[in-house]
Amino acid sequence: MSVEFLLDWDKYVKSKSSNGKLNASDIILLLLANGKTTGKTMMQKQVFLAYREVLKDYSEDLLYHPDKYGPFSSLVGDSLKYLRNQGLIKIINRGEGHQTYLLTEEGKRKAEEISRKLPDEIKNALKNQKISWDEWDTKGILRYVYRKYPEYATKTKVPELKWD
Amino acid sequence: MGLDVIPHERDVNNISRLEIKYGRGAFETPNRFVNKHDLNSKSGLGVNVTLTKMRNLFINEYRINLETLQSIQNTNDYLANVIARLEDEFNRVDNSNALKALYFSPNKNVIKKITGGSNIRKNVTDFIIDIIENLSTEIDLYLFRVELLSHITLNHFGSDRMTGLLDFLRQNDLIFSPVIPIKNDLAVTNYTESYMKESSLVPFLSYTYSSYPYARNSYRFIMNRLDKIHEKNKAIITLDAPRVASWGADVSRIHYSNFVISDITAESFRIVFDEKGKGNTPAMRFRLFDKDNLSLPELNNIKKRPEEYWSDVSSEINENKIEQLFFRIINRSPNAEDIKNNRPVYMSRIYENIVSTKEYSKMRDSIRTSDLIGYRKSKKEMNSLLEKEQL
Repeated sequence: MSVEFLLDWDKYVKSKSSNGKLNASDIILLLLANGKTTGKTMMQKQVFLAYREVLKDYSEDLLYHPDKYGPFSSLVGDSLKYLRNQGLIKIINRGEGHQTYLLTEEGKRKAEEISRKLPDEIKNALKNQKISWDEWDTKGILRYVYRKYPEYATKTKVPELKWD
Repeated sequence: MGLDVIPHERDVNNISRLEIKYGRGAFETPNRFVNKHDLNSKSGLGVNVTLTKMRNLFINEYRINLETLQSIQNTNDYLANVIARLEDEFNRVDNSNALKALYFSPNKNVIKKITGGSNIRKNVTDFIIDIIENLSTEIDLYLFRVELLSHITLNHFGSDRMTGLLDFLRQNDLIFSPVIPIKNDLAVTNYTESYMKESSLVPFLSYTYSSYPYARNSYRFIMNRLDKIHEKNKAIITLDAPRVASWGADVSRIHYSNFVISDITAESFRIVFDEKGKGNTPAMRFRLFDKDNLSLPELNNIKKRPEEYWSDVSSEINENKIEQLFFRIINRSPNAEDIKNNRPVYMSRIYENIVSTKEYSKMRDSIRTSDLIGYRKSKKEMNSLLEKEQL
């Protein structure tokens, strides 16, 4: 399925945005509108939590599945590349796994446009949760995700972070 | 970007409610910093409680010991490593509106070397300037031991000449606070007077922690000036406070400091080792914050039913598995995974963060309504210690 998206990304974005639901790119932009995110794993898990715990009623299925660090979505990985190519986000590299993701000015405008369609309580919840998710290091967010969503931790390479 | 200290109500012993305003937000005192111990405990449990939203202030401590000093002087890429580490740590609060403070904290041995030789002082202060210039995180407040800011030794005042660091801070309009060793009453007297005259670049006077009997003269001197310090729009920070004293009453030394002179208190960032050099076992180190006494008794000394303790955090920690962990610990039956993963220690600290924050709010309310003494008397163990020390 991810091959289809990679082959005709524009068509995918168009079709998904027309159903009124948020897609992976939208959620990434909304997340980054509340501040930068550092680390690939942190980005995957914050989008997962944004999708599952704040924006579930507003999002399409992001196709998360269990992977070596818990829930993983190729759509998120592909969307990050797409957003960078579109000049909506910047990715600053600082060594292995230390990408910092942040919005460009154009990205801020786009995020604001998407945000306008959401109720204030959802926007505030996302803002508050982003601060809380950031306070974790990568192991911290994995501990939380593995405990609350153990069905996504079945293939983990770090089983010591599982709760039970 | 400024930092304003606005005094409001004043109560017994001149303890005041202050409002601290800065670029991104504001908070009130008395209060305590969130530190790395707290964030690490949050990560260690993976618990979803927003610490820097509960208390809008965070402090990070860069400790300089003899080994660090060696690296500063001899290791080429040490600066890059320190900056990367500090940025990783500040990244965790970067999107929060909390005030961000960075404390450069040399230990006793390094201070001895700094005051003994100007070359070493220059090595260290140049290194600090390099850190400040290269950090991409926006820091609201820097804290430095006075020995790093001034060429004079603590006991010889007079022909002072500022160091490159002090010069750098002033030239760049960086907000900073001198950290004065409380046990040295001569230093307290001179530096307090001197920094009280400083501009708005110095909104806080900071002192290291001591219990009152061990720094009585210093404390009396500051207490006598507390109203003047506040009226000059300056507040007092106490640094390096232990969570509890190594002997005597189990009262929270963070809360204790706020009943003496402190507007804001920061716990010392240290890892406690037992006599064999190993950390105490997690079960042994579990202490439960007791709001009725502002104390941190060990499990054997807690007085209420476990349910009564849990009800103080149940609305903030809304997760069954964390609740089950709490009861396993408090009923002295943590499982092997709990012990292996240090969960009792993390739980203790997260519990304290939530309940202690609520107590600070009540303390501020009592100052607002001129009933600090009533609040204090309701905290039996704390009050008893303060009375014993004639405070």
